[in-house]
Amino acid sequence: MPRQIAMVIDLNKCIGCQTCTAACKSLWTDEAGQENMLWNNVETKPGPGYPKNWEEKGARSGWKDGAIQLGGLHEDEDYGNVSTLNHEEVYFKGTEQRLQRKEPLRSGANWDEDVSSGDFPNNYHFYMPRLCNHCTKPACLEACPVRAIYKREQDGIVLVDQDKCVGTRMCNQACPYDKVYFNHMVSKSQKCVFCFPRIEKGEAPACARQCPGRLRFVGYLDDLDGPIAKLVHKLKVALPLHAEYGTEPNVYYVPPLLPQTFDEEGRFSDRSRVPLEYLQGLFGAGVEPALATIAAEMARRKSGEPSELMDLLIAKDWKSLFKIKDVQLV
Amino acid sequence: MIYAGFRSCKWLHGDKLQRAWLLMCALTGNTGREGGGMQTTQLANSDGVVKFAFAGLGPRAKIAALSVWDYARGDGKQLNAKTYGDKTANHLDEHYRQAIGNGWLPDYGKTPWKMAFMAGHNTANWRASGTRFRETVLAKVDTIVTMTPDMSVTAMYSDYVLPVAHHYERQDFVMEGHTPFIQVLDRAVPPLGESEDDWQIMARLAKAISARAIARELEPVKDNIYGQPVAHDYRNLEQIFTLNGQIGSSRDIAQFLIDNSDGMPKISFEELARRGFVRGDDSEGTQFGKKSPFSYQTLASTQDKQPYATLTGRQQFLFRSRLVSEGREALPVYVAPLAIEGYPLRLTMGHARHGVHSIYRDDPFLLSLQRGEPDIHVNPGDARLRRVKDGDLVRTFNSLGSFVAMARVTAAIPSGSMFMFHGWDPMMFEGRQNFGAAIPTAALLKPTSLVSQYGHLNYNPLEYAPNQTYHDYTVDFERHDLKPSAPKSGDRSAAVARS
Repeated sequence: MPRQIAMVIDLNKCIGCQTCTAACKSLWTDEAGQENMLWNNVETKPGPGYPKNWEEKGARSGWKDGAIQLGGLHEDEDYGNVSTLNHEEVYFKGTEQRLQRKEPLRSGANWDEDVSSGDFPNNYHFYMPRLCNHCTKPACLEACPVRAIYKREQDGIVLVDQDKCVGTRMCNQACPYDKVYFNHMVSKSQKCVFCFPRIEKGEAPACARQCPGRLRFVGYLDDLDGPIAKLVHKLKVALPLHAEYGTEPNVYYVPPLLPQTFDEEGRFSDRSRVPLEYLQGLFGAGVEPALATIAAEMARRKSGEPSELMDLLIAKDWKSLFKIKDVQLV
Repeated sequence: MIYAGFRSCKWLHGDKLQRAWLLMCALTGNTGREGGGMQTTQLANSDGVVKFAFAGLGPRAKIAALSVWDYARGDGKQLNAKTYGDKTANHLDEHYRQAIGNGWLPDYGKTPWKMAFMAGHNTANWRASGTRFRETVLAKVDTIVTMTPDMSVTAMYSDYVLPVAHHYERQDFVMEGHTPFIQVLDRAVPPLGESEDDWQIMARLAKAISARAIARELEPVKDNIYGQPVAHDYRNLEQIFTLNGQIGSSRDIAQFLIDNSDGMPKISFEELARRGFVRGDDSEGTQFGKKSPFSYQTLASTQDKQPYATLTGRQQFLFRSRLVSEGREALPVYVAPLAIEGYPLRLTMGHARHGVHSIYRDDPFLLSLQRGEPDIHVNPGDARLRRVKDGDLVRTFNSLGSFVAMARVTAAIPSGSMFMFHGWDPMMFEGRQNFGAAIPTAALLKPTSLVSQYGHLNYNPLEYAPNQTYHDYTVDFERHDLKPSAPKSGDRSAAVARS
C-alpha cells in the first residue's frame, strides 16, 4: 500500500523571515549551477512570485482532460540569482565604486517582498512559502520521456534520478508550480527531495525543522492520529494550492484569516481586507468553510473551552508539529 | 504588558511616549501585576560581567553617553541651528550649558580623542548623522584601530584593521532579554585567515601595552570613574585583564561568567556546548524573577515594595521643577515631532528582517532575497507625484544632505512617509553616502535627560543619560536620473550639499 508524506503550512504564522529558504539552500543547492535554485522559497502574495509569474505558466501546465500540458520555460531572469560583490575592488584596490553585486538584480526570488495591494491603511499582503508538492499525480513524472522521475512507494516523495536524467527539460515545462529547476552545469533537472535522508531517520525536512514560527506540520496523510490527517481531513482547514492544476499536491495551506478593514473614522468595518475571491483563486472553494471553522474554534478557545485545532496551530511543543517515525498504520 | 522594545526611544520625545504608556497602565489598573506594565527588554544581568569589567576585579570600564560627547566635539548647536532653527538650538544648548555648569554630565567631551579603538560595532555608521560624525569628529582622530569580523565603512576609516573571528569560529554564549535561555556559540571551524578571537586580540594588546609601560617606567595614570578617583597602572594591565593569568582564552572568560553570575546553572562550558542551551533560573512568566540572570528591577518595586528612585518613591507622572521648566514636560502630553521645514515626508527606519544592523548585510545570498542593493519603501501616490516607478533609483534629500537608493513602491507605506531598513553600510551607496547623510538628529539632547539630582532624573549611563534619536526630521525624494531640483530658497546648506 503506497503511503504519502505531506506538509501543512499555516500562513497565519509566516513572517517571511526566509529561514526555511536559507536552511534548504545551504543544505541542498549551494553548488555551482544551482545559483538560481530555491527548492524552498517564500513569496509575497498577491504578487508575481518566484519564478516571476509562475501562476500564468501554471495555468498552461499540469493536467488537462487527462493529458499533460507543457507550459513552456521561464527566462533566466525570472529566477533572479546569487551574484558575488565587488569586495576586492572596493576594499582592497582603492576604487571609488560603491559596494555592489557584480550583476545588478532586476527581478528575483523575493523582489516583491512587502509590495502590498489595496490602499493604506486597508492594504493587504501575506507571505507564502512554496516547495515541491510531491504530487499524487506528478506532471513532471508523466512528462519525462526517459522515465528519470519516480515516486517512492514508502512515502510518496518524488525524485529525479540524476543518473537517468538527460536534461530534456520536459518536467520543467510540465510542472505547474515551477518547482523543477535546471542545472546548466550538469544539464540535469533538479528539485526538492523533501529531505528524504532526514525523513528516513524520522527527522522533519530542514525547512520545517528550522522554521522559527512553527508553522509547518509534517506527517503521513493516512495517519489518523497525526497532525496532517487532522488538519486536512478531519478539521478541513488545510487546503491544496491551485488544485485546478490537477496534480493533487501534497503540501497544504491553512489560509490567512481575513482582518477587517478600517472605515473612514478608523473603526473596524465588517469588510475583510484580503478579498475572499483572491484566496479562493489560490485555495479553492474550501476557503470559506475553513475560515469559518478557524473562527469558531478561536471563539471556543477564547471562552475557555478546549480546542484541538487551536492546540495544534499554536504548537506550544514543537514536537507536536511532526509525526514521521513510529507511525501506527491504520 | 506593553513591549516597547527600542523603538519609541528613537524619537526625541520617546520618553514622554513611554511616560504616557506607564500612566495609561496605572490609570487602567495594569501596573504591578503579571502581564501589566511596560518593558523595553529584560537586560541580561550577568554579575560576572560586572565583576570582570566594572567592579575593580578586572580592567574597570567607563561608559559615557556618546551623544553628549558628540555634541561637544561635533558642534551640535550649529547642527541644530542649521536644521531646526535658532530657537530650538538655543533652547537645547541652554539646558546643555546648565547641565555642564552644574556638574551633571561627568563625561561630556572636554578632550578630543587622540586615538580611537573601535570594537563590537560599525561605529562610523551607526550614529545618527553618521556622515557628519565621520567628517567632523572621526577625521580629526590621529589613529583609528578597528576590530571587526567584516569590512565596513569603519574599517575603511581605520589605520589598522584587526580581523575578528566569526561567531562559529570562537567559544562564547548568548543571552537575549526576551528569552530565558543561555545559548552556546561554539567553535565549529577554526578562524579564517589571520582572524582571531576578539578576547585573544585584547589580551595580546594588553600584554604588549604592559611591556611598553614597564620599559617606559610609566607611573599610574590618574582618572575618575563616576566620581571615584582611580589610578590605571598600565604596567599591570596584562595581569588585570587576565585576572593574574586565570583567564587565558575566550572559553575561560565564558566559564568565568557562568561561575560568577547568579541564576546561571553552574556547569562547565563543555557541558553547555554539549547541551546547546540551558535555561536561566526563575525565568517563568512575562517578567523573569529575582533569581533569574536577568534584570529584576521592574519587579523590585511592584513585588517587593522597594521604593522607586523617584522623589516620591512611587511611580511619578508629574515633574514639578524649574529644571524641566517647559510646561509641556511636567506631564506626558502630546508635542508634535520635530521636522525640517519645507520637506513633506517623514523617513523612519527599523531593523532589517535580513540581518542585524550592518553586519553581513552584504552577504550575496541574502542580497538575492532582497533587491540586491539598498532600497527605500515609498507610498504609491507619493511616487506617482514624483514620476517614480518601482525599481527606479531615487535621491532622498533634505537640508543636511542626500543619498540614493532604489524605490520599493508599496501600499504598506502611508502617504507622507518613507521607510528604510537600517544597517545598510555607506559603502553600498553612491558617493558612500547612506541615510546617515540625511539624518540630522545627532545633536538633539532631550532637556529632561540632562537633568540630575531630581529623584530618578540622574545621570546614569545605560539607564538615564542623553540618548541619540533617529526619527525627528523630514525629507523629500526625486528621481535620481533627473537634474536635482533647485534647493529651497534661503537654504544654504542644501546648496552646499549639492555643489
